[in-house]
Formats: sequence, C-alpha cells, structure tokens
Amino acid sequence: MSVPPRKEKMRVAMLGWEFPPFVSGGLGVHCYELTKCLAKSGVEVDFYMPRTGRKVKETEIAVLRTMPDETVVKVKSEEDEGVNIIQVTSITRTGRLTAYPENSLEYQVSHQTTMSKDSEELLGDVEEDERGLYGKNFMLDVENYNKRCVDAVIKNHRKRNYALVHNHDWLTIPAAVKIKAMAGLPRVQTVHSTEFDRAPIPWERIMKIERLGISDAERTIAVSNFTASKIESEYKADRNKIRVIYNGVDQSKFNKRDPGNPSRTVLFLGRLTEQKGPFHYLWAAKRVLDKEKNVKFLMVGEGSLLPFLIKETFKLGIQDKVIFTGYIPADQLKKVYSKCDIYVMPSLSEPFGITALEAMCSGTPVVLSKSSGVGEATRHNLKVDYWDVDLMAEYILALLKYRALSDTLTKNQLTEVKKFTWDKCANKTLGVYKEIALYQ
Amino acid sequence: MPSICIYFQVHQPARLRRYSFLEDKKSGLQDAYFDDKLNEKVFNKVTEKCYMPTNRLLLELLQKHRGRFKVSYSITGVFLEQCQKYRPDLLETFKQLADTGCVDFLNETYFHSLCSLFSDPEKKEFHEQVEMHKSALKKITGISPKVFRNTEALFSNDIARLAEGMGYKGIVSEGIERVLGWRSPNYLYSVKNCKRIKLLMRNYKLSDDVAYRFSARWWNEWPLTAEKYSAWLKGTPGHVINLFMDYETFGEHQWADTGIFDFLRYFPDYALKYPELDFRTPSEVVEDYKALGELDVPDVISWADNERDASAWLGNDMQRMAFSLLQELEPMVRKNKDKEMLHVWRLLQNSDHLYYLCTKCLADGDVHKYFSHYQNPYEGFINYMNILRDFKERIEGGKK
Repeated sequence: MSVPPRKEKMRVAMLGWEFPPFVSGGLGVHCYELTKCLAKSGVEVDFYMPRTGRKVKETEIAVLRTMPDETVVKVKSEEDEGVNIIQVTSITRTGRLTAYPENSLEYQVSHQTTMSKDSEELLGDVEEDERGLYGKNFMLDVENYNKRCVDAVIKNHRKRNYALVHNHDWLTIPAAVKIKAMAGLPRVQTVHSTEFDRAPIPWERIMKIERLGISDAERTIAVSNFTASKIESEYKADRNKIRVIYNGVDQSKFNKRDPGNPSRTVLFLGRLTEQKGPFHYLWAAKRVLDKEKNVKFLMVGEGSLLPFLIKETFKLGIQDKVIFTGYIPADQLKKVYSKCDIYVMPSLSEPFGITALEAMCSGTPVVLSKSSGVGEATRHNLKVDYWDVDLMAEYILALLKYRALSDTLTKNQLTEVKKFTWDKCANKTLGVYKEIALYQ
Repeated sequence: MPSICIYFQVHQPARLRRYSFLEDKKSGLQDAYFDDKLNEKVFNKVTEKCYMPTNRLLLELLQKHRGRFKVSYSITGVFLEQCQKYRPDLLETFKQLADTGCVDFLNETYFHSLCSLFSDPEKKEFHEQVEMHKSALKKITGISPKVFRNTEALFSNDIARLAEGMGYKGIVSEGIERVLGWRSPNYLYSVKNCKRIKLLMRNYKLSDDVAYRFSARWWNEWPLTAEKYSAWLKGTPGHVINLFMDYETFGEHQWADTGIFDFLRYFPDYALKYPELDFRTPSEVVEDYKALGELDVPDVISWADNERDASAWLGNDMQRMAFSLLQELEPMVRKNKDKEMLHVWRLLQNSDHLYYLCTKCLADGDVHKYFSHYQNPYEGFINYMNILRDFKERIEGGKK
C-alpha cells in the first residue's frame, strides 16, 4: 500500500462518549485530560462525541476547539494542531449524559422482564422529562451515535489521514470496528471498565460488544492490571496486545484538607450501584457507630440503589448519621473531599478508581477495596476486602482515633499521588500509538 | 596485618497477633497480644534453614582450625527465651559453640529495645535490660562479655558513656562516612566524652558484600567466592576488619542454593592461607589494639537503611507516637509490681514493632516489608496501637 509521505504530526480519530461538562464518571475526565496532554505532545486529536445541547468546556485549554460543523473538520492550515471536538448528532439531550446503561430505563426494564426488542412499548407511559434525562432509549442512542460516528470519521479521514482510531469503552466499539473494516485504520481501545465491573448481572448484549471490541483491536489499553486480568480471563483477550496504563490526576485542582480541624465525617463517593459497595459502607458505618457516636457518614452520588440504601439506614438505626447528598457536580467535589476526614472506596470491582487519587490529592486518608486498580498501584493507604466490613470499620475507627495515622497517611499520600500524572498517561498512550500507527 | 572480627546478630521478635477494636477482650496478657503460633512457626523454619545448619558448620570449622578461627554472637534475650521454649536442641548447640573457647558473646538490651533512647535521664530501663541480658547469657554460656552492642547498633556519645559506665571495654557500631570522615573503619576509636571505651566500626562494604550482595546477580563481583573475598580482606589496610551481620544471612536471607554455606565453609581456609590475616574476637580486639583517634557522635547512628540513623524506627509520626506511649507506660508498669505485666511491656519494646511501621522510601520500605508480617505499615501501626492502648487500660485498671 502506498501512503502519502507524512509531514504533519500524528493525527488520531478518538471516539468518546463523555467530555466535560458532560461527565458521569472517570471516562470523561480521562478523555479530557488525555486529549489535552496528547495535544501538548504534538498529537492532533479529533475527538468525536455525541452532540449535546450544551457547549463543551474549552476555556481551559487553548488547543481545544469545538468544531461548528459535526462532520466536516475545517483545517485552517498545515500547522493546525490540538484537539478538535466533533459533536455528532445522534440524540437530543437536555440533561446530563450517562455512560451507564443501568441508569437507562430500557436497561432497568430489560433486567426486570425478559429482554425486549421493542422497549419503546414498555417505556410507553414513562414521564416525558425522565426520557429526556437519559435519552428515551439508551441502546438506540448508542446505536445511532455509532452509525453517525462512522460516517463522520470516514468522511474526515480522506482529508485528515488518521494514523489510527482510538475508542473508549464499549459505547464506541461498533463504530471503531466498522471504521477499521472500512478504512483499514488500526485500532486502539481503552477499557475503563468491563460489563463485569458495572453490572451485578452482566448483560450479554454488552459483553458481546466488548468481546468483539477487544479481539478486533490491535492494542487494548487497560486502566490497571486488575482490569487486564479480567479481560484476559473473561474475554480470552491476548495478553500480548494489552497494555496497562494508569489514570492520572491533576493535583492543582484540589483543596487540601485541614488536619487540625477534623469534621469527623466519612465519605463515600460514587454511583449508588451494587458494584460500588454502598451497602458494605453502611454496614461498616453501623459498626463504627456502635463504638463511636460522634461520626457522620456522607454518601455522595446517585443511582438506582438510593431508595434501598435509605431503607437500609433505617433498618440499621443509623438514619440520622448518614447523609445522602445526591449528585454533586465535579467542580464542587474538591470541597467535599477536603471537608471529610476519611474517604472510603468499598467497590466490589473497581477497574481503576480515580476518586481515590482525588482524595489523595486532597490529603484525605483513603480506605480502599483490594478489588481495585488504584489499590494495586498505591501503597500508602489502608486496603480491605470489600466484604470485610469489620476491618473496614476498624480502619475508620483507627483513623478517627489516631491522629498520627491519619497525618502520616496524608503526608505520604500527597507524595505518592504525584506519580499519577496525565502527562505520563498520555506519553504511554502515545507509546501504544507508535506501536501500531500508520504513516510512521 | 588486619585481624578479622566476625560478629553475628541473632534475634527473633515476639510478633503480635491481630488485635481489633471490635473484639471482646481476652484474658491474660501474653495470649491476648502475642502470636505464639506464628512465632513458633517462624522460629522452627529459621532454625531448620539457618540456625541449626550454621551452628553445626561453625562447630566443625572451629574444631578444625583449632583456635585460629573465631567468631562472636550477640543473641537477644527474646531469642534465648524462644529458643528455650521452642528449640532447646538449638540452645544446646549454642552452648557447644561457647565451649569451644573460640566464640565470644556481646551484651545488648535483653528485649531488643530502643530503651537507650528513652527520655528518662536515669536510663533505668536500659540498665535493667542490659543486666538482665548479662545474667541470662552468663547462665547459658558462662561468659561475661566485655563488649557491648546496642540494639540495631544504635550509637552516640551518650550511649557509649552509658556502656562505659556499666564496665564495658568496647562498643560496636556502624562505620559510616558521616562519622568517620576521611578515617577508616578498620581501626579502633575512642569516643568523645568517654574515658576508655573503644569503638569497633562495622566495615559495611565488606560486611554487606556477604550479607546483601552475595547472591545479587546484578553485582559485577558476582559470584563471590571465599578465595576472592579472602584476597580482598588481605588487601585491606588497617588493624581490624569488622564483619558484622545478621546470622540469618546464612540460609535465610541468602538461601542455601546460593552457595552461602560453601562460602562459609571455605572462607577460614582461604583467609588463613594469608599470614597477614588472623581472626580475633571483639574482646581480644579491644585488648590488642589501641584507639587511633577520637570520634564525636552527638546524633544517634545505627546500622539500618540508607540513613543509618534512628529513622527506621522513629522516622514518622506513627512511630514516634507509639514510642512515646510505650515510654509513658513505664511508671505505671513499675508501680504495679506485676511480673507478667512488666515482661509484656518489655516484649512490646521489641524494636521490630516500630520497624514494621516505617514508611520512608520505597527501596527501604521493601526491606522493611521483607521482615514484616503486616500487609503495610499502617496496618501494623493500628495493631500495635490497639494493643498498647488496651495494655494501658489494663494497667490503669490494675487487672490483666
């Protein structure tokens, strides 16, 4: 195959789903920081994402531009570089994006009844605004987005000469696979989580997509060895094609906790779903409160388990000690982290766990589940098996009791977290690009 | 014509069991706090891998060389207790070693404690522990040591004065540049503010060639043979080359399959081929050689980690907090006049309990981890503190 000599920088088509301000998890943060740092390293990224009603945040990065036209990237000059956000029309949104199907009504319905091809019918009498929030039909949204994405990338590729296509998670797999088949672009895929991490009962439909995405990709980036092992065992992925790259964190974005002024508040932060271990958190809280009355337990986040969790607090008799805050926007989280004495991440299965890094940046001691990526990559914290609520409670009590413990953890966490930078993440990602990119 | 002075450190800690806030209190102190099963298991394991085979080999070598080969030991009281309890047969071999007349022993704190650093100006605990160790050793080996070795080679002008005050003629520590400056560790020194006591400095390079680097394949001198090593010693200027190391070097830190036992077996043969070399015990060394200069060590040094100071045990807030609680208990424990309580408080002084809490740097942290039965220092701290606090409550309540 004859390829045109390449003067320009490496140009990459990246397929995403979330981007600030539309962030419902680590995925959006990752894409934002990664593209920014790649641009700094001289890679030009065309970032494709669903069109939203709101404007993408671009003030912070000089290199980031929103393309006015969804399918045509207007290249002004040869030197043009940076991140081009290309919003692909697929759904109309009024509210926040979600990357998690369990938030979608279709998913919930399909898990209650047998899988229905026509979920429209089942969703018939759902309130209008609820539909608007998650997209009326989540899976249909995904499908539409993928179709439109293929069109857009193939069209742009003629002018842009992409060196590869890089997609994130299962949401963008169909498009990436199709693009590879049509344009011969090599594929990199980042696995931020697998269906096994997200759902208590994995959905076969999504597992199928993930399996295809991983086997078809030239390189799969896993956010941890924990995740790499999972995709190796569950999806029979070829270990030689997997690269582990940890997430980063921007330390400057966080406030520092004042250790001299303890609030005696413990923090849980995450979607209120089975996999995040919110029940274990409450059970541990109960054990702590049996010994120490003067402690508050914060639960930040939303999710399908909320009513059940509230019920559980009453059952345990700790309802006046647990505070459910609902969703708190990203820009206000730094306040939450720095106002709490302890951050607990009791996840049943956490591919990475950026929130733990964020707590570390805030100088808030971390108690975390051994079933997590961040756990394998850090030493200065207290690790528990998520089911060992006694030990979890003991660690919380110890942190409340022994100032020297929390001070030493705070100090060492602040040092340790410095090794998780987005530059490092981007450089390693670039390394993976170089393994397979066209036009080298 | 340097003498070779070998001393082995022999110690096993009294490891603590998991002690939770949430559990009901157990009766009895010893059973509540110490993991005797684990201690016995480790003791037996190390006895099989290291202590027994090394003792036997050394007995053989000492007999073979008839007075020309000599070694010395510093054995902690905690070790002697465990040895009596778990492996009296091993204790027998130590006695046989003492009986050869070519083995010297050093004194130290009975409980491998940091009590030399207690803020008590009288250093009552330190004096008592050293006396305890002296009489325990005398009972078992019949030997009264002339040379003192403080826990983990912790040393300063003040500690040297303490030892001198107790009648010791020599004291052992680490030969680091920070203290020596341009001087060589291969001579004896006097210590500032002391009258007679002589300081034996560990030659850490030559000691660690065996203790740490023996099996290191990245090391350009690997493999180290007895022949090569003896030649290095012969070429080393000075009066005495102090080779101090953990006894567990043989068979435990360096496994048998690294060839460490063969190295030890042939080392005296090769070394004694050189007329320039001989072996002397620490007691002989302090008699035979003069101090060549005075060293001033105002701040505490030790043989641990890269820092060679007390930071392996007292480097972070957790360690300092636990250590100060430990000291705080002294008057209460003494007031109670309860033998078991006193003994348990002293076992809790094992420096190992503090060593496990070290969080310093990754490289050292790994060494610490190797020796630790905890997942990480934080878990170790919680456990240690839970026990110390429980112990404090029990003393205050006056009941066990």
